[in-house]
Amino acid sequence: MKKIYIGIETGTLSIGIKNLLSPLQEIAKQQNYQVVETGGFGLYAYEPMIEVEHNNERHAFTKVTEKDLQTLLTDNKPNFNHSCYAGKTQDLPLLKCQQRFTFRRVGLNSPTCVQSYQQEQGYEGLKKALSMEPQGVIDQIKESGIRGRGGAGFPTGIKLQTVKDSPAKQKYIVCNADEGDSGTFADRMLIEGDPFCLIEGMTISAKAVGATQGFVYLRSEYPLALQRLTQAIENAYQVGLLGKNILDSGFNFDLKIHSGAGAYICGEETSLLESLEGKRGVIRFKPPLPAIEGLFASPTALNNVITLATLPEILLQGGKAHNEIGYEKSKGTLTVQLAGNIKNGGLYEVPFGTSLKTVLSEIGGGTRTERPIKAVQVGGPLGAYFPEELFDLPLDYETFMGKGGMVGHGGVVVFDDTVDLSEQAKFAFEFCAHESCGKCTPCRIGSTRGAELIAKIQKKQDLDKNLEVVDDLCELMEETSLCALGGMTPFPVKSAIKHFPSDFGIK
Amino acid sequence: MQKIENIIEQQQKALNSQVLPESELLQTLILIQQELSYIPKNSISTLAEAFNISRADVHGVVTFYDDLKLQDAPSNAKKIIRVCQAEACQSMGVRQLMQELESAYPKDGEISIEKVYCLGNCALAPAAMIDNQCYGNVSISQIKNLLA
Ligand SMILES: Cc1cc2nc3c(=O)[nH]c(=O)nc-3n(C[C@H](O)[C@H](O)[C@H](O)COP(=O)(O)O)c2cc1C
Ligand code: SF4
Ligand code: FES
Repeated sequence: MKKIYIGIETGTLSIGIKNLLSPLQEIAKQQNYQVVETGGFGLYAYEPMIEVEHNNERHAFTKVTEKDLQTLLTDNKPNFNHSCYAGKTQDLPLLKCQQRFTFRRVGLNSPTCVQSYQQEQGYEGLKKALSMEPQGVIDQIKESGIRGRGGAGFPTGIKLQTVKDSPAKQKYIVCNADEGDSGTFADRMLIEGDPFCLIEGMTISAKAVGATQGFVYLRSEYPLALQRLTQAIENAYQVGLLGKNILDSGFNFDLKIHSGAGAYICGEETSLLESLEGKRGVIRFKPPLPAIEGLFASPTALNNVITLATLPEILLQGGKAHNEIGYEKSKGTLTVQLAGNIKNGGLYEVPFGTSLKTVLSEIGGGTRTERPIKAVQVGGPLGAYFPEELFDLPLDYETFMGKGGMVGHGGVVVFDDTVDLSEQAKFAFEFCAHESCGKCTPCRIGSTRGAELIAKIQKKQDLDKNLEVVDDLCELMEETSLCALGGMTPFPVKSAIKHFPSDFGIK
Repeated sequence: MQKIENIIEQQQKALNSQVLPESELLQTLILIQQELSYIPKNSISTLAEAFNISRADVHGVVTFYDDLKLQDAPSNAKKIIRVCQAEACQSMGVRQLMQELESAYPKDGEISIEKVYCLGNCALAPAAMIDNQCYGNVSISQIKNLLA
């Protein structure tokens, strides 16, 4: 039967796509089509979007309303004269501008169906890994040049090597699906849209380091991701893709989900491990590295969702293919999440090195309020605010570090010219105060003082003196904080002051 | 209390052990929160006993996590709306929306407004959540309809 596709994920559901579902099913039935609920492409300028299969190609209808549905099909084929018709899916400009590597399957098929996953080369990467020696798997990952996508950009191959080389009876694979950074939703889209890809990636990582138990630490704000991942794990167990003797290789791997409970700091790896152990998410001192002494004091390979979900494709295509994509020391693709005040908000997987400008003007299409862009914040709440003069920067770990910011998890939040950057700087301190784990004084107390100082600056009280105190406070936090929450809260604060001095009353 | 004892019993069966491992404390608390919409203050000692840890340990965990609400009794709220306060939602006017919400729904009333930081729907800001359902591009009038 020919198919009609509709993307069902938190984003599309949040703008009411459910209302289209039952009328669509009705129409499909009449015209002999089967409705497939996919995980969506994350291109919100097109949503609600419906695709109709014709001659083995997918044709897209965008911004579809309930009324439009009635005329979507004529004589058992798509109505090409429909006002919502936008051409073939593969030619949609916002999809065509991407290089989907990790997300290649997201949006194509039913997320929890093993068969559809396997039809799209799912589990081919794992098969290769299972036929190799663990060191061979790690060598491929090293060759790929992939660095952690959770924010810190640490080389994944080296981390896995450390875990592999740490002798222990029990080792663990932990997936960081806490995705607390504001402006980011790639982990959610991946889990909702292609959960087997994460499961496969974790199994590959387990094989590489010799772990038999995995945990996904999933934030509580993602109920649909929890539901789909739970379903996918169940399905994987049923067909022997998890559990004992996976794919008849003799390799065993079990996977369990643990829920978070609304603490941003639990995205930091050692806090996450404490939380997985059932405790308060207080940061641990490093060393020992989690790779050597992690969960329950055992060697633990902890990685972000996107890092892990990229491993199947790396194994499948070979490390070299991945290494050829990207820019300088940032290999592969970055899943840019375009958010906030921007028309074409959504998920764009592009090679590292793509400039911010390309993302903002060619993809973004201007602000939703039709006003000029004043600032963007890149890399979550600890990322810097950048003005237009810096939009030529290539998205690359080192380049952004050099400019007092970070690429982080790839979130780009856009603000128009009504934003007051002093409010944003104050919020950065307030957020730090709210989320601090409380272990170090500069972070716990300094952040509250910081917010008070910005409030005084806003009222022009002792401007010069207070700016100086903020500067000293930032330096203290950067130098003495145990983790990046306290250590990097100065990034948004200092960048806001530096690039937007007039918002702070500085002439 | 009966419900809490049931949850503990359920966990004891699932883990096949009378004394529960500390590693299951957070997950157990999450279950209680889901079931009762709060963590009763007087359940702390029951939990401490079941996990064979100190009451201070249990208390410490409960108060660390925003999702867990330590209270004497259930609140009056019939519905909870969680509104994202983070940057993408700020860029689309959530500060103003919050003012409107707070004046429409007074404190301790039937509608409780909770501040959260990012719901992962940042391309469709501002975002809010009611009963595990996320809403995007929300406006005050839409929220009033949803909560009516
Ligand atoms: C305050 C803070 C919050 C973090 N939140 C996350 C998060 O939500 N998800 C994530 O993958 N990494 C997060 N990280 C980074 C992790 O500590 C860790 O570097 C990462 O999960 C390792 O995986 P990767 O190498 O695959 O990136 C956070 C770090 C800090 C300091
Ligand atoms: S910097 Fe803040 S969050 Fe990090 S360990 Fe110190 S107190 Fe905890
Ligand atoms: S910042 Fe509001 S949903 Fe992400």
